[in-house]
Amino acid sequence: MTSRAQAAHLLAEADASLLDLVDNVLTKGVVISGEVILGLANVDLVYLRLSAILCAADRIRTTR
Amino acid sequence: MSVYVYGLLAATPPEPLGVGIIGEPLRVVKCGRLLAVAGDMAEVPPVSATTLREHDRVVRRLSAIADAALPVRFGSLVDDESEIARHLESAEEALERALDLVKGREQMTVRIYQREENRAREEQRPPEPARADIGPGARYLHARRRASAQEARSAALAALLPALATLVSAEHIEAHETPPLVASIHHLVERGRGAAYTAAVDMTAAGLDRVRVVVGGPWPPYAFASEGVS
Repeated sequence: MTSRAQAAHLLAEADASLLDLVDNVLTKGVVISGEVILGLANVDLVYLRLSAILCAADRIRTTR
Repeated sequence: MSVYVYGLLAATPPEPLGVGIIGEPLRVVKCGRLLAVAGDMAEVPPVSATTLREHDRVVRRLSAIADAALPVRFGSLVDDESEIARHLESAEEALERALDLVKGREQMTVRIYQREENRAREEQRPPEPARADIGPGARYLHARRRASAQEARSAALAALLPALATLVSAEHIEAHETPPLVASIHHLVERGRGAAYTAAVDMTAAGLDRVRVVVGGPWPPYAFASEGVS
């Protein structure tokens, strides 16, 4: 299975907790260092694809 | 040896911090009015399900032993302790507000997926060509697909948000242009209210026929860690 197919499979809820894990741990949280992206240079393609999809989101509302 | 940062706290917790991703002992580093929880590490660990879960395990530990803990993003490695303070200095007030916001609260996340039957027509199409090569027909289908996803998203949000309002302290909503995933909702709820939140989501989702709704959590407040931080 290709990375793209694996990512699509994950996105189709096969492992919702893994999607949440990638989204939360890789794309959210306080950014301390400008080198974070460099640190992800070797990221597995599945995670990179998932991360890219999640990062592509437009925030449409923030309220408190 | 470099320093890997896991989270930010307002006060030193009464219980041991435990160990980090590679088993390194963790310590509290004072950074102005904030405290960073960090461990010594030579390089950023490779990204894998295991290391992501280990990072999350540490962040969950911090959330368990402190009323307020802000998760730091995976891969935050700096040269030394003083560099943490330098990075945080300009955002100190915003981070204090974020700590106040997440105090005693946890994150729930809802994923909204467009149902398969609503996407069947689009899935019969060949992969999209490069944008410059898209003709009028492909542009029409692309627009149809976007409109369909947007309608599904809007209907789901219109049903879910009012049903959850009484449980929610803060929310971030993300619209995804990558069906089947069409939206993510991150909500901050009082700790211990996750089960009630999940029940409310499931009850509301049962009445939605165009989308499938998956609720996850509780998570540490990752989506709210940078609240107000530019």
